[in-house]
Amino acid sequence: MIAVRFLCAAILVLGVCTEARAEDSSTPRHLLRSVRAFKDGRYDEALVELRLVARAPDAPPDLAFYLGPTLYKLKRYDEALAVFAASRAAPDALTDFYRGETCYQLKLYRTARAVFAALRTRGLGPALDEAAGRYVDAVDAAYKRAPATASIDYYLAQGLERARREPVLASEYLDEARQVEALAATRHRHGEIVTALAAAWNASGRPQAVVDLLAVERPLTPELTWELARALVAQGDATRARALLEDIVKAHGAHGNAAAALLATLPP
Amino acid sequence: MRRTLCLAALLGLFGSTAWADDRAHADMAAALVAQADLLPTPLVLPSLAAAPRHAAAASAVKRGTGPRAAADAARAEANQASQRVQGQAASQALAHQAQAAAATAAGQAQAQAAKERANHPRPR
Repeated sequence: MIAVRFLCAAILVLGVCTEARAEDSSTPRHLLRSVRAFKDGRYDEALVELRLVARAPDAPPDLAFYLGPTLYKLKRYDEALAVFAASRAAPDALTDFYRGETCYQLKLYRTARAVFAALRTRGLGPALDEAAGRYVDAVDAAYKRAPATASIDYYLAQGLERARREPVLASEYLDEARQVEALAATRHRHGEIVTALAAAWNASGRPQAVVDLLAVERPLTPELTWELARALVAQGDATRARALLEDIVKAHGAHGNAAAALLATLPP
Repeated sequence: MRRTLCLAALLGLFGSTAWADDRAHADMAAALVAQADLLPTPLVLPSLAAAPRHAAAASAVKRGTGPRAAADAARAEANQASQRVQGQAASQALAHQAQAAAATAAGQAQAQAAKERANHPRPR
C-alpha cells in the first residue's frame, strides 16, 4: 500500500517536473506561448514567438503548421503562402486547409480548388469537409464560363513581377496562369506561361515539376530545352542533360555559353 | 517497484520535449479548427486592365466627360472598390454599397450629360 502511494507521488512529481522542463527549454516554451497567443487571437504575439522558434536549431519540422496559419490570420498572405510552399513536412490536413484559404485570398482560385478538392478525398472532419466543399463550389461557379484573357494576363503579370525576387511565390502565380489558360476558349500566351513557370520551378528547386510539365509540351522551344536541361542536371540525369546541352551549344542560341559551362560540370 | 520507478523517471526525462511538442500540436490543431474561415468570401476573378483608369465618376461629371466614359469610370471604380473590400475581407455589404454609390454616380453623370444636351442643342 505504501509502495503504491509512493509510486503515485513519484509519478505526480515527475509530471510536474516534465512540464517545468518543457517550459524551461527555450524552443518548446516559445512554441507553447505561440499556441496560447494564437488561441487567444493575439496573432502578432504568436508570430514573435514563432520567429524565435524558427531561428532555433531544434525548430519542429512542421513549423508551417504553426507559422502559416498565424501569417494567414495576420492577412500576410504572400508570406503565408511562401511558408506553406517551402514546407517539406509530411502533408497535414489542417495545414493544407489553411494553405487553400491562403491561395483563395490571393485569388489563386484554381490552386485553392485543387487543395480543397484533394482534402475532401483524403477526409476531413465534418465541419471542415463542408467548408472545403463550399470553397470548391465557389470556384466552380466562377469558372462556369471560360476565363477571360485579361484574367490570364493578370496571373502571368503577377508571376513575372515576382520571378526574380520570390521564385516560390512566382511559381504559384504562374501555375495558376497555366491552369486558367487551360480553361480558356483559345490558347493565350501559352508559351510565355510555360517558359516562365519552368524557370520559376527551376529557381525554387523543383526540377521534377519541370520535367513533368515539359513531358507533355511539344515542340520544345530553345528556352524550354534549356529549362529542361537545367532540371535534368539538378536531378543528376547527366545522360539526358548532356544531349540537350550539346544541342543548345551547337545551335549557338541565347543560352549557348551557359549551356557550355553547365556541360563542363557534368561527370564524363 | 524500483525498476518501475526508474523506467518512469527515464521516460519522463527523455519524453518531456516530445510531450511538449505533442501538447503544442494538439492545442494548435484545436485552435485551427475553431478559427478556420468556413465560409468563402465572394469571389471576383481578377483581370489585368488594358490601360489603368483613375478617373472617378464624380470628377468625370465635373470635367464634362461624356456619359459613357463616366459610366465606364464608375464601373472601373466600383470593381476596384469591390476588389479592395474583398481583399481586406470586409463585409459583402460594403462592396455592394461601393458598387451602388458608383452606379449612382454614373447615373448622375448620364443625367448631367442629358441636361447639357438639352440646354445646348447641336446646330443643324
